[in-house]
Amino acid sequence: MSDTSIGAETELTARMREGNEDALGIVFSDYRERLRRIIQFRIDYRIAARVSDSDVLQETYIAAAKRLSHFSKQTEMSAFLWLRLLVKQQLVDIHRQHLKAEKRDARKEMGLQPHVASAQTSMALAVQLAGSITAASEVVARAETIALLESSLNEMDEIDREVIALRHFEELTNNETASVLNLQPSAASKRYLRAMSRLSQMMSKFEESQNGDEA
Amino acid sequence: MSQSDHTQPDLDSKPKQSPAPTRADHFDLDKLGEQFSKAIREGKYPNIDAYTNLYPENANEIRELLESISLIETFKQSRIAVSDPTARQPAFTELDDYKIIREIGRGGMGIVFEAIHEPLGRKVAIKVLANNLLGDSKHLIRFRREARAAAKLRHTNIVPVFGVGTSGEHHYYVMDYIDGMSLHQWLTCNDKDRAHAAATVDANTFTDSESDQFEETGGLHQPGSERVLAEDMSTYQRWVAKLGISASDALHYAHAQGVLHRDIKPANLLLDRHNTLWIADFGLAKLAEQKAVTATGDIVGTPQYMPPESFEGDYDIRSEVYALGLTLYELLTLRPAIEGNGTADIIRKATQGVTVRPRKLNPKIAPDFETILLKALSHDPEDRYTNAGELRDDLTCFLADLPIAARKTNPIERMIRWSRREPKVAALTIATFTLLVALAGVSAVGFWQTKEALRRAQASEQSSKQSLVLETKARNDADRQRQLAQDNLQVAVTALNEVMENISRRGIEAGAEFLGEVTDTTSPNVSAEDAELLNSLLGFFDELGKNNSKDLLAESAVAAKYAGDISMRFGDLQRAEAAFNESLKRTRELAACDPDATAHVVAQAAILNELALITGLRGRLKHADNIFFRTKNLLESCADVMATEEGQFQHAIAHRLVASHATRIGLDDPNPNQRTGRLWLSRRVRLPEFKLEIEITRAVLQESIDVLTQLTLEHPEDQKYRVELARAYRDKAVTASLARNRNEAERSIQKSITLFRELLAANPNLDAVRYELALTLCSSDTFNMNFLRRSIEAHELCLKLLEKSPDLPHFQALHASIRATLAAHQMRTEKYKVAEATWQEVLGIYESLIASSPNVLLYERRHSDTLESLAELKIRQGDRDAARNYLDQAIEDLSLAIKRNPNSPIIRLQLNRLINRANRQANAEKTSGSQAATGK
Repeated sequence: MSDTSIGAETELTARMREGNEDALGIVFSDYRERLRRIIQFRIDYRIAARVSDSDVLQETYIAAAKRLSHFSKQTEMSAFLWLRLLVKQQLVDIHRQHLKAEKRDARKEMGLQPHVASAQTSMALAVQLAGSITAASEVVARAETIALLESSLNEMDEIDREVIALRHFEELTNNETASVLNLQPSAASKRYLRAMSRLSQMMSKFEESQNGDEA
Repeated sequence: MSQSDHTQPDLDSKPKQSPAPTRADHFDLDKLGEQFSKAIREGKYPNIDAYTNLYPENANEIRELLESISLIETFKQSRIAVSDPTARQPAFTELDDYKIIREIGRGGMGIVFEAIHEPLGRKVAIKVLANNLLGDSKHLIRFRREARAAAKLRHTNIVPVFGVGTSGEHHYYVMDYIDGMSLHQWLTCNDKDRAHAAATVDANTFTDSESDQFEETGGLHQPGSERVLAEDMSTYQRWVAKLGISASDALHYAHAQGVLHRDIKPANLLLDRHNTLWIADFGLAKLAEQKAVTATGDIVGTPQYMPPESFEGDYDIRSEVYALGLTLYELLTLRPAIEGNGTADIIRKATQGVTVRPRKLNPKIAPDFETILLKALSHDPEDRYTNAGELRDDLTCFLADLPIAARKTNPIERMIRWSRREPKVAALTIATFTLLVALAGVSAVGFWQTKEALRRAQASEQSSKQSLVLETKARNDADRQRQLAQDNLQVAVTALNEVMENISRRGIEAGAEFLGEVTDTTSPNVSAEDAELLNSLLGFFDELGKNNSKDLLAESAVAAKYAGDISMRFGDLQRAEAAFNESLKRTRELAACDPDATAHVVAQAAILNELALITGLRGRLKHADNIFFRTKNLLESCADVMATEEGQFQHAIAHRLVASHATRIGLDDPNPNQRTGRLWLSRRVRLPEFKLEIEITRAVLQESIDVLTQLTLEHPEDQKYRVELARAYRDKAVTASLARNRNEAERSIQKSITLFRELLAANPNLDAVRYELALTLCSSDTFNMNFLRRSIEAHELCLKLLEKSPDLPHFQALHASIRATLAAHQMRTEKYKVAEATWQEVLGIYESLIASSPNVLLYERRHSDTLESLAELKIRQGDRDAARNYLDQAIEDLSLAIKRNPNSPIIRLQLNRLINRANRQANAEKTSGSQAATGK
């Protein structure tokens, strides 16, 4: 992610491209937590109850080892983005498998996943943000802000939401984001800043309307 | 660079320090944002101003971006914490004795595994708690305590908890494995499965053809399934009612044990393959809740299933009635009672309460069922069922087509109130509840369970002994041994509690705990079997006590105290004293481990007070005084302790006891009237000293009374304070009448009587209160104008007590005491013949008491007192030979008593006094011809 790591990474990446599985092992374990993060945010909560993120990581590694030869052809792609791609493919497969009964397009469900009883999340988060505040009403007010953020994210258009997801939930750099979205870095940056600005506006609009309700 | 570098907080940097951003040559908002995000991810707290200051011209857009980033990043981090609290936990294959089979599920609090307890081959479910839930040891201790309370619950609809354990850094909770699904799963699975589940769980109500119908309609109609409900609503709601009965019965039982669940919702109600409902996770919700309060960001209940008052921090058994109501509502209507868009909305709706009547959603729901739900779901807890048992009873009536209680109380009014949501001024009835819960607590466990517990305890005692041998052989196995010991301890403590309950159920009445010192003497209701079980348990606890674990120490301290209590009831004061001393020793060790905990200090004081009582009863007053000073110093040396109610309470009890002992010297409470010559009984023979003593006693008692009065005012609901206060007033009356301060004596006795009468009115079934009242009634002295009336009332009360329990020694002793009071009165009014008959009767009672309870010195003394009184009577009648005879008997009595109790100064004093009196008598006889001798 940061520039300092690129030198070491390219050497390992080069060995990966030669089909060296040890190199894959090292690179994979380096990226393990980042990949786990992606799984956590992209997996459907109904599946999360049945499949642990470690399971998905495991499957991803097996897939990577199997398809290591494919990587040599993906000269445009960094090792991280390639592994990320495999993770997402794994998720698509798992979602398809598990949600088959519901006849939903699993691929479509690959956005930011709503969380298990997300009400719970906001409440928990509110408590965390509230710190030493003990009055229930203040905690509730905090929870409202978080709920606001959640609903703002959900109401954004898909491209805006996706770019925020990549930058913040997957913690991709602008360059990586550009590569994933197949854009020039400057265009990706513009899109991100615009999305953030919209988010900010939506939040303040919501706040105003809610304050208005209560007045 | 690996990702772990990002998530590691920089330990060197101070928390509030913001990493200095740097100004680049040209302004790049994206880069600034990236820098800022990185800082947050590294656990730092970057300051937005530091960034805006770099580019004042772009301050607004920077602020806008960074504020959004801050929100998103914090949101994300905590979502990770919530979504995967177990992220840092490795996969398990085994935990101590348990072999992990598979993961059943994950929740906010940890992972649930199916596992096998290898030594027993028993299938269990293990909840491994997320590490972040039990961060510090305080929570851990609390968790263990909660889990232990949950483990004591035994009900056919509560998932049995086997224990808690720790393996490495993982804490886990072992419970029975329930093969089935939660009601949450049942509600969210698709309708076809649901119909099938309903069909299999209740073969009686769902015939084959009906279940086929279910499958068809369910398959056709996703997910609202109105038709399913319409098709066979009556059968379906009867099934829901049955689940409700099981759940409310289980809750009612747990409440009676003083355990709240705190998180009743469909996900915690399990349905097994035999149509049985199980409530899971008792004791765990509280853990999550308190953790949330400490702001580390985990789950705070589920707002959807939280009762309105809980948002204001109020929560009691009626809140659980409400939560169960929500679940039944959801089962009945197949949609959550509280729904909303996003958290804020859900919370708002949850605080408003349920507003849509079930029948509005489905008119086929029976009106009575709706009425029951409306009552359970009343917004104001006052309007709900007062406990889960009432909800259960109404559901049962509904099933049996009987009139329901909710209906009787004007359903129309309730409906109007319900729809208007009128805020009401609440009248407090919680006090009544507390008492009900306390009273109900004892009566729930059957005798067979005690027997079962005995078997288990003996088995575990053996296994524990074996394990101790093993321990010496294999030291590296120590950790596992501890685990095993703890499991065994769990069983033993359960057994012990059951014995205690069993005894108190058969012996003293239920709910009499708040009376504290109920009996001075033996209760024949303690059976030999109990004694045997108790002995084996004590041996077991001794064995465990050798283990230096702090947890075990606490348990064994409690066990020793129980042993003391029981020995007290046996009337075996010596053994009780030894047990209390043992308990004191362990409690002191505990206090040494944990010097800040006030609870240990209070516990020590409570034991010391028991010891003081025993020592007083055994007549070792000096020793009792010493204990009093120890208790006083212990409590007063710790300001924190004296700030607690319990500390003040024990302090007051200590004061009352010492005063009581002072008045006990030679007095033989409760009757100060038996002889007129009581003043020269003790080392307080000389008048000025005695006066001083009385003054000190008065002061000490007054202090006790002040504190108890304060406690009573602050906690009018807590009856133990009032009991103790009434006892203190009784002692004050006795002290005052010793000092010949009759007005004060009368005022005090009136207060004591009033207090006990109130207590008796509130607890008309408690004979222990009746006993205390009778004691007070016969404590007024013979000069009092109310004396005769009170003695008669005391006598009536006493006869009532004896009618019920003719064998209880302390009732008999009371009887003797009252009769002796009357005899003294008869003597004063010179009705010598009647008096003699009464004294003889008293003598007979004491003789039988001495025969049945040879350990109690008090009875021997009273016996000899009675003989002395008879001697006095004979002197007044002029029958000197007979008087001499009685005196000789009394001396003989005491000589025997002194052989058995060589350390009792009281007996010695009394004996000396008698001998002196006999000598004076003899001298008087010699000189009787010349002078009138009244022998003083």
